[in-house]
Amino acid sequence: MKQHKGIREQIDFDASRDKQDEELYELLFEQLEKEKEITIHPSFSSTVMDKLKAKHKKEARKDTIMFALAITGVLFFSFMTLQVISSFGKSESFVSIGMFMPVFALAALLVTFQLLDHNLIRKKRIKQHLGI
Amino acid sequence: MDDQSLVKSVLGGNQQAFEFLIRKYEKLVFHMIHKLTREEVMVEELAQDVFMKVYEKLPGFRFDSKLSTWIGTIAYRHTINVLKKTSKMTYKSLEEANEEQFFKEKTTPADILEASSVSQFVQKNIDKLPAHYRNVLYLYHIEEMSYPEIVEITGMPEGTVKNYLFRARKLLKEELSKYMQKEELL
Repeated sequence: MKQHKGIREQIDFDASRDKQDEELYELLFEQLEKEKEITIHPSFSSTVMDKLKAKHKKEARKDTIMFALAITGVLFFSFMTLQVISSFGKSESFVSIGMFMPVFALAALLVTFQLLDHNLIRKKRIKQHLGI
Repeated sequence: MDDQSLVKSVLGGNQQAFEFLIRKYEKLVFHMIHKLTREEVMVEELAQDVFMKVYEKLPGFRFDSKLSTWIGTIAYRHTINVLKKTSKMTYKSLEEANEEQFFKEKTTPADILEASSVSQFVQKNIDKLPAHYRNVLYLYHIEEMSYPEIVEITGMPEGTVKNYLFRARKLLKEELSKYMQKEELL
């Protein structure tokens, strides 16, 4: 029935139509509903799957590197904090380490953000999507 | 398998289910991309990107619309974005150029004689239409989508969708009239 509905709408739209136009529209609608052949390689779906797998592997590798960097950063910052605490009373060492404190603080913030982003926000969001 | 179980299965990690989803909707995606770009080489590559996006975005799909409409929207937007990036012109000017070209490329007597059938003649003329016209014709007539579904996919107002559809058919009808006159003469 859709074909007729479409034709009626089209005829109403075409103000200059006559009886012959209505017949032409009938013929046109018949042709428009014929699907044009298109070539899709049979292995298309497996190509997409292979690409997805490769992408996931790359992402997993990147995540591992980021996580390793984050852990290294935490360990490094912890070590530096212990250094600062242990150097209380030794004025010379304390001053030299204290100069780098803003850099360490920034590194710590970045590391904390990375950990939060990777372990809490991203995974949590995915779990929400999955309805877990 | 219905779409709801298919999506659930994919989200559960079933890779075969996603391959099945690709096979179910590859025709829609290929046709849509093909209607928007005439570059044959680009079609398969763009279709691959579309299904990768579908996989990534699937956890966020809430069945507010049909799965086919949702996949169609991704295909449409991705293709338009790629066309915008690769073309120096804006997409709008690209469309205007296409429309202008259509009017310049109107059917010649040779075109009429070359076409062996009405189908071939109509298809040839559809290919000459601007991308948006071809796309709405495909979604409406082949995919049998409703106006709201086409609006959702293209992001165009319903009035624009109808205008493209009616205008495309009118242009095709005018060309078809010339072909039929030749048929009568022979």
